[in-house]
Amino acid sequence: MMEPEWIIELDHVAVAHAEGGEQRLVEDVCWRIARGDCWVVGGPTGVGKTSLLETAAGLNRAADGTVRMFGRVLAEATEKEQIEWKQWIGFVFENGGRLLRHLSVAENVALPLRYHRAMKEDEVDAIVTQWLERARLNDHAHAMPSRLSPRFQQRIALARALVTPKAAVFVDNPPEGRSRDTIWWRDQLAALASQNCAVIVSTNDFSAWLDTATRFAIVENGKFTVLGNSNDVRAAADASWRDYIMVN
Amino acid sequence: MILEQTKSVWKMYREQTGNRVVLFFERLHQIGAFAIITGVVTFRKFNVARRVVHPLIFHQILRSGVHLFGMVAFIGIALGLVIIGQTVTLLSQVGATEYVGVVMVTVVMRELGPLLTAVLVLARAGTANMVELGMSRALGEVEVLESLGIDPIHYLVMPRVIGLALAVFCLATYLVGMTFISGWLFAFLHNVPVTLSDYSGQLGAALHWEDFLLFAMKTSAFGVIIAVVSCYHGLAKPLKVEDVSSVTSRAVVESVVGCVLVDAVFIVAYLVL
Repeated sequence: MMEPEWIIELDHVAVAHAEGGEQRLVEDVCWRIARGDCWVVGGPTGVGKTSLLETAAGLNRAADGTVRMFGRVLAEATEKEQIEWKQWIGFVFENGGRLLRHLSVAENVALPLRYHRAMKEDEVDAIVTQWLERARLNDHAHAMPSRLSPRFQQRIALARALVTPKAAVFVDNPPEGRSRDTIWWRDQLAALASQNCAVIVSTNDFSAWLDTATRFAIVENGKFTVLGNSNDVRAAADASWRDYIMVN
Repeated sequence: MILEQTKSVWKMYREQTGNRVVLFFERLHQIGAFAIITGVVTFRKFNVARRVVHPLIFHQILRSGVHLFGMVAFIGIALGLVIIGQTVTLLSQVGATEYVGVVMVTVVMRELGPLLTAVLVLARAGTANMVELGMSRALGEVEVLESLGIDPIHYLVMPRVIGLALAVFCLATYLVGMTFISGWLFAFLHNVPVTLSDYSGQLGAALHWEDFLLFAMKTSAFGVIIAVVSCYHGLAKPLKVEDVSSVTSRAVVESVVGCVLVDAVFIVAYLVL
């Protein structure tokens, strides 16, 4: 099957809260995501960035409009197709990435491999070790998630999302500022985008992403607006969103 | 004035009763739908990702069944002493000790054993499951499973349903066995005029094939009800952490009501058979 140009398309989509609230957070979203894109979506806290990302990733049903994945309308897809697509779309949640509390760090990372792939245990272990080394957390392989800080937990969640090949990865609020942690995230996601995987990040701080991301968008007042590339963001000196989005 | 007040109280009572009846059937419908979905997923995906899911089933059997063995054994022994103690005293007075076996089978195997085991499992494992799933829902772990392409019913509910059904069946069997043995021991120690051969002969005569069949069906049904109700309350609706305790109490009450209703159906089945 030939893959379409856009792996994810949102046509006039209305985004509501994931828990089924009536209130629409973002209206009329038209958004196209291709492989290799690195999108950064900004906006003030509570405006609906997380719900927008969840809707684009197929985790949250659109209140209106059409979501397409790999060229097919998501709402018309069979359960089997949806499960297959979800294996190609990774999602890293904010605040520690929501690791499963009853599994150890290594078991969390291994879960998608053990569930979806018929691999031998030593092969699974090798892949998990490789990803934990990449996350610089191999010393904590057998620790329970609650023993780790939320920023380490979110790294494990990234490893869990990437342990099987992905066409797109959504990252909700990775660490901000100029810490080594932020640099680690930026490097990992830039490497992913260079491997032809779409990367979509939500943040309150564009600064860390100006040299990495290819496309920027903003959510404010219930609207989704594409700003352009990093030069367009730097050039928009008088834009109202500069009051709440950090741009250095 | 008094007449109007009486009318309004009566109207309020009717409305509240009506609402409760409607809510009861609505909840029954929702839990029924959840049970059917779980049944379909269990049937279709029992062997899917068995490396991940089957250990979860064993974990549930261990937690809901094996870990409760001590408590069930204690209750079984106590039950045998109490029932035989009371029954033999009563039957001796009327010279009808030959009915000890029939009483044991009717009271323990048909009624008390399955129901008591279900209540014990509900208290220990059902509430634990409810809190566990409620926290998973409240902390967004269910969405994580969906994002990984893992069906939450398959990963979270199916192992609990199978595990609890098997656990209640096995524990009820132990409980009934323990009760029968401790009952005879009590009779033996108190020089009651019922020999072991008389006692086992009475038990054997009182037991029929439908007792074993209905016992297995009833205990498994209790396990399924406890698992489905607790999983429904834990997963089916959005939940906040502060809601978990109140929803757990509701799940316990509904599980007990569900088990009693099913028990009533089985009583009818015993009468028919």
